[in-house]
Amino acid sequence: MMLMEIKDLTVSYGGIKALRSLNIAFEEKSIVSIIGANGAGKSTLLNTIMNLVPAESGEIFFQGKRISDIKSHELIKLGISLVPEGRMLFSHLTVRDNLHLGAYAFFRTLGKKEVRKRAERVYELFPILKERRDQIAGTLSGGQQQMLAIGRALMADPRLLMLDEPSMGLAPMLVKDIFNVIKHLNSQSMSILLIEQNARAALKMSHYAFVLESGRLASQGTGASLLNDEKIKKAYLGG
Amino acid sequence: MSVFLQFLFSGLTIGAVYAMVGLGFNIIYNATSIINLAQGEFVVIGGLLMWLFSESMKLPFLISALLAILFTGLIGLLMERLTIRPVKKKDLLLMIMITIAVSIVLRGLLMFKFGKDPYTYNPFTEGDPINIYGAYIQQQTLWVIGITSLCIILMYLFFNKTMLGKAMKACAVDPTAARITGINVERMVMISFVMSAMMGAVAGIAVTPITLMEYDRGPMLAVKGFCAAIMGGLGRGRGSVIGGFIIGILESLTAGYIHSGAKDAVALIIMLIILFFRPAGIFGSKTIIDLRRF
Repeated sequence: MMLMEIKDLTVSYGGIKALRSLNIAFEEKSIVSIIGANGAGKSTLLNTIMNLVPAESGEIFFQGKRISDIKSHELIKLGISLVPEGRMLFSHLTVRDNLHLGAYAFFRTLGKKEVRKRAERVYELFPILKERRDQIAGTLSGGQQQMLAIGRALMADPRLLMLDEPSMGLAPMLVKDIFNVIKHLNSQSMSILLIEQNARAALKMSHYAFVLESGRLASQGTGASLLNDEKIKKAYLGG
Repeated sequence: MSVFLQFLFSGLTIGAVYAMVGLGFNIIYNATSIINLAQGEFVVIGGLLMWLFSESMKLPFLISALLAILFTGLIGLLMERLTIRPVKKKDLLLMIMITIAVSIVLRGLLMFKFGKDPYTYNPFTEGDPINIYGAYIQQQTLWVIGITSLCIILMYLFFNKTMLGKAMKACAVDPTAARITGINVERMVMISFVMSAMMGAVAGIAVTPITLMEYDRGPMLAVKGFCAAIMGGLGRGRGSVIGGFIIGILESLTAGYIHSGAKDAVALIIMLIILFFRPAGIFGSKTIIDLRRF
């Protein structure tokens, strides 16, 4: 069974179609990238999956279950976490509070101890966050904020982690670190849906990728095959 | 000296009420970024319902107080359900206008039920006022200050030590981010209205034996409480409490030494000065204000 299936999805913003009859499906435990130019509808896709943006028509299935009408705050319980574009941290709360709020939906079922354990796992992944756990999130550097955003999403222990431009505004060294973390998470059988401007880096580590052009699916294939595709090379990989 | 002390004590009493109204503002603001200008009506409703239950229906004191608090909380709940939640486009200015409309409607209903006369009931404890250096302080004033302090501590613990409180704060900073981390934003907004209504009711119940209570006291209380909240830096509980006491005391001194007609201007002048020179409030930190989205 596919982990996620998107059927005939159309999304409009005030008359402008951001996604047009999009069909996408991918398997569990894979790294899947969505690449495309600015305005191709990549972020809209993630936001529609998360039900932050209403779909005009079409359906979304997660593990065979229709999730199109499930509210955003309940999707996290099904195992879908989003690291949004621009990080969207609770900037005036501490690092620790940001992490704990990432597990807010599970507080009652898990209990404090388990939530702390999860936070410890995030700290293992990003030791700098442990050092800064009492610091106000808005005062962290860009890279640390990105780590915190990923950490917050991991607190829900998702089956599918969606990342919207995690490398944006980061120094190349940090981008490498973040990508290594994504690969590491995938090696622990977490599925990854990644939106990335840096198409080459994204395709290199992706099992599968979809190319969007003005809201339409223009191409798809394994990461390696797209890397060698002449058309893709020209349009997205700088020739 | 004794005259000054007398003014100080009455300033503390009224300041405590402003502080509670300011806290009420902060609860809703912390969860929604909305300024609820019907906050003063919650105080009035608390006081008048307490009179209804304890004097008119002769219920025991504690039960009356509990009922008055619960009913006011229910009104907060209805307000959120009927006037805030149905609004599709959550424009901040629009929401604030809605709260003004609710305040007017509530005042109308209160006049319908209670008329225009002021109401009061017996203080919580009987006994003579306490003489301090020639000035007298009523026992009820001590109750008001004590209850205010208790509310401040509870609020502080709630917003800083509990997950629910932090989740409420998170909603105000970024509702979308709150949603994707699994926080039910609509529920947080509802809880904030209920809590803030109950907080208002507590203030009304405590202060009515001293200041009496009538149906149209709300707007002035809201304005003063808002000044207190602005002074302390919106969203900061401790700040609004200190702001409330400062405004109360200055008002009382103005009424005593200058003219009683000038007292209502004090809060507004303070608010203007603060908005001109320190928009983040005396205790508000600019960085935190900058980090907020609104």
